[in-house]
Amino acid sequence: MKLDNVPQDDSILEGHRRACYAQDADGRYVVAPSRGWSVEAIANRQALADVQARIAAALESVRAGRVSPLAYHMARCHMDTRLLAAYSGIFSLRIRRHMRPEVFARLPDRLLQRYADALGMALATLKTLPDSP
Amino acid sequence: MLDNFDHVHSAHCESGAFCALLRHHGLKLSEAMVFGIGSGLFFLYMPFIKVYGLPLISYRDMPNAIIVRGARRLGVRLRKQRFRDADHGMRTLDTMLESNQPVGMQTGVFWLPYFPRDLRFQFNGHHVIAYAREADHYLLSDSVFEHVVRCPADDLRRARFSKGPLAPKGMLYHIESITLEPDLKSAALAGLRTTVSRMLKIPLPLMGVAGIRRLAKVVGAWPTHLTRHAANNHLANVIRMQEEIGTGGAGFRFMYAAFLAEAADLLGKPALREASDMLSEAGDRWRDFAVEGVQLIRRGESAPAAYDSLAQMLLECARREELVFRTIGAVLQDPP
Repeated sequence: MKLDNVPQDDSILEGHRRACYAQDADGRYVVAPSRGWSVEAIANRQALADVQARIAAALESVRAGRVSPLAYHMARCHMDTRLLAAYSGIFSLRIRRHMRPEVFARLPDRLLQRYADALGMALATLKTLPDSP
Repeated sequence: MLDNFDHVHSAHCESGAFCALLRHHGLKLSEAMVFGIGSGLFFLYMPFIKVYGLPLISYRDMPNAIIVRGARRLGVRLRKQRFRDADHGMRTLDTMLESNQPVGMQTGVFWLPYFPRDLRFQFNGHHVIAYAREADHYLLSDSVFEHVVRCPADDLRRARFSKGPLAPKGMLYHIESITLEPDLKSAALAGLRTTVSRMLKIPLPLMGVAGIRRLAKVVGAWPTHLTRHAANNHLANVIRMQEEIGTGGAGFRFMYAAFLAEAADLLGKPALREASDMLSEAGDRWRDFAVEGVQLIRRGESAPAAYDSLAQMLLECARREELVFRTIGAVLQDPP
């Protein structure tokens, strides 16, 4: 890649610049900062769209009373039951049971705290939902 | 505690972190050199290992391979520690920082708040350096960023003890001893040898040049085997691994070309300069592939003909890379 061709598209880097390798006029390699590339932004959006759809679907299900808020917060942290089990040290089957709203509502704070820690959030917000995903 | 740290803005987190640590201890090498000596370049297609439900694709070798090989070849004694207990892991970090020791760490990107939001995926192979602590913040030199950053202690703790594939288990590393005049020539040769053999000689069709060919084959088949949406997702995954933050462009190919150019001068082997130019061109073909690929994604297309032309582009990349590594292989056969 030539130095002039290093893309400078404002994309997903939020104003940060990343280092790219490109050749200057003499053919020497130099490190050139890049604001991002639209191509990578499209690929990134495609990947995130699925994650976001899963989060939105989880939020919908919680609102409809089909699953507990735990399902939403799990999706928000890009986790599935297996990964949440690894983070929290709680067995998958048990987590799945805690996805039932009536079971979740009766959980002691001690257990909720483990979920809150695993999901990197405060215990108080674990039972709440945001207005939009 | 260190007041500041000589931050190096790099393309790749691991080679960048290692390069900055070496520099701190007085050994000044370019990131590309560190990447090449550590044999960072690779290609891997693992359909049975899924990341976010998609096949694992990597343009580089396993996390930590660069620091392990690099240290060995440069005569650096690197101490690595992992922790079962997070409190212990954080205390150990503090102790090392108090004795003015900058520390490399393996972290999970998802929990690092200074990362752009769209790049925060559950990925556990990210390397950063901590060099100081201020109350409940750590000062980090994250080499893929332009400047040093501050990170709350809670977040760093979560990132260091993130879970899932490649879980870092609080991994810390620091340089215990170093030689300031390493045998760079033999280090570079060893780096080249490993990469040539890994790119050409692994008898599994999922790794190295054969892996690129295998990927080409499956890309051509996606429109028939997958739904349109899934085919687009698979394609986006390949392009992300190639171009998203931390590859220096074209899936590390440009950075490795920079290493080859440097190695050509170091070893007095003009043929490596040719290999560098050839790899540079192969990198440009990879970029073309990405450009074509996102056109399909944007149009939501899954016409077999379109994917077939992508497969042809990948085969072209494979052909060019095979030539590159055969050229380097011939150089290595040559007596010095």
